[in-house]
Amino acid sequence: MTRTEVSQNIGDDLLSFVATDVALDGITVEANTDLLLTGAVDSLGVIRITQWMEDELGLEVDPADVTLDNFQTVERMLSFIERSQTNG
Amino acid sequence: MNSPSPPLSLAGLLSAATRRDANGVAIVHSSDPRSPLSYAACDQRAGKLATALAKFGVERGHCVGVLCRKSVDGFLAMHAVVRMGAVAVPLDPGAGADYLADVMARTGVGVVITHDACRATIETVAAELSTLRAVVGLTEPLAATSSPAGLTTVTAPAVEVMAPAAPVTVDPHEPAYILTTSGSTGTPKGICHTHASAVAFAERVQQVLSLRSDDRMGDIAPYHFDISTPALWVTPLAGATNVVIDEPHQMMPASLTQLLEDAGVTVWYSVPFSLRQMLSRGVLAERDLSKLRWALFGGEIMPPQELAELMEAVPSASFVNVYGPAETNWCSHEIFETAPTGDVLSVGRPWSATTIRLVDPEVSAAAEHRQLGAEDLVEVPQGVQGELFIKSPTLMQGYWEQPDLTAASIVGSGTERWYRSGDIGIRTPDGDLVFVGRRDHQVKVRGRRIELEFIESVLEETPGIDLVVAAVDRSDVGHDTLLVGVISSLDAAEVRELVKNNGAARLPSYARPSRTLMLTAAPTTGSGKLDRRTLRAQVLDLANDDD
Repeated sequence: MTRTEVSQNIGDDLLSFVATDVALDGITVEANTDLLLTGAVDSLGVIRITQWMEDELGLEVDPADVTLDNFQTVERMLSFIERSQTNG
Repeated sequence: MNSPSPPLSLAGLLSAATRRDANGVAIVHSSDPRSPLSYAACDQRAGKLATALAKFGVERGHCVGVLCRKSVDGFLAMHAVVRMGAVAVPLDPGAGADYLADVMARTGVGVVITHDACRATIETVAAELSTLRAVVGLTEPLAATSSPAGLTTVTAPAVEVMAPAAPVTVDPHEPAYILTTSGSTGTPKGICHTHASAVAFAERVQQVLSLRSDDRMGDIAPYHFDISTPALWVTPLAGATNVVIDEPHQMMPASLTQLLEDAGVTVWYSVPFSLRQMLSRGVLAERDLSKLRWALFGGEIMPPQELAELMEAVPSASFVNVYGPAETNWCSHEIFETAPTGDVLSVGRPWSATTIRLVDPEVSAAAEHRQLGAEDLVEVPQGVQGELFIKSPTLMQGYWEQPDLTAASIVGSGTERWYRSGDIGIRTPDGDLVFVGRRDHQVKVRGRRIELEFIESVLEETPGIDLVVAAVDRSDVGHDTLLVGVISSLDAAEVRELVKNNGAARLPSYARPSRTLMLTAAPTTGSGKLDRRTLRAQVLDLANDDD
């Protein structure tokens, strides 16, 4: 698979995980939905997302990187994942 | 002495702070372009909102809903309502529309102040609640489809051009705000505080913390939660600055600690969960929180070991364990000068003009039948557990329009009014209080009081569901989760869907179960009553078998 295909897959998987397993009831989640302002995700949800990144992608997520900038939307999470994979 | 005498009500708090220092910074919010706002600006904005309320028929003593996420808007809305002698009913922005409509109907709320962040919620509520007359504070009016006949939207730009109303003079014994909590029968309880009880509270907080005008107090808790009251009322009393900690920051400990550093927060008050999150994921070693002088926590148990680690990580701060049900607000506390030893933290002693008495639970049960007088409240011997009865000027007036419930919760009258807390405690040989647990089925999940029976009775009204048992799973320390077990002839997937939809519509966000498990039998006790205790244990077993 090419790099683009890989990140496409990760993007779909992450979006589906966040939308169906993490997001609270009644809120539709798309790649650019602000998860924190809409209340779609609570603090335990954030923890579950970081665990998903560690378990599914083998990333080591530094608590210092779990910030609004990196986690506000699924899109932002994907850029964070890409940066971490490049640096790691 | 030219310092003015303290205000006797909440109505004039912003105006009094403005008279002392018009340019003093009242509130800052990192993502609000209006921020920072001076006391003069806040006083004027709250006055304009009060004018808008009056235009829609709000009078003294009327209840006004405040549906806001943590924001400058929320702070101004609460002050606008009390300013005109009306009664603020802060609403949970995460709650379902049915629950909110029920709370608003019970308190007779005809006008709501809200903002764009809650637009979708107020649209749904407006469609259900025919008694709603006006929605104040949205940028754009509600669409005609979601706006029943007779409902007017007063937009924020329209409020902006109104003339500000001056605060009214209220009698201290008039109601000021109502905090709603779930009751055991499916009916929400409205804890009604007066200007007198709120001012008594604010003055004591001010006295204990010796707040100054250069203090900056983090404002973190939802407005319908009593932990929000110091940032709302004490900050202006001290002429200090309210630092809004919005929900996104609360979910991101590393961003939160950065905000505390950047904003120079000096006073913090939250449930222990938030502080524990900062400790585990807030990269405290990389932050300079040396301006923080007070870190207060209350509402649930703080593990002593984690408190010791927090004290080491933030040595500038004095850590305080606060005790007090929303009915009395904060009434006892322990300030930790040195790292705690032992398994549980003391909540110290009551503050001024407040007495806490530990009463034999067998005796206190008579309160339910109103057979108890203040003279019956005799302290148990030291070292024996008792139910906490609290006498304090900070005590609520009562539960809003629920005289029976009020009578069963308050013993005595006049200067001898004692609140029966339902909390069980014990006194150390030194006379300090230690919280042990609850008398009833009430539990706390992240500081929010939840009555299991409330959840059960709400969900049992779902057609197709025969029986619901709620339980709290504490097996993962610090991550308590709410579970329900259900008996139904429907299949598991259908039941889950029903519980999810009904929970979202009818329960406050913090009282929604995170898992639904299927039960097969309903055991009874010797007296033929449903054996909920055994069922709760079954639910927890099922949950942990699955893991």
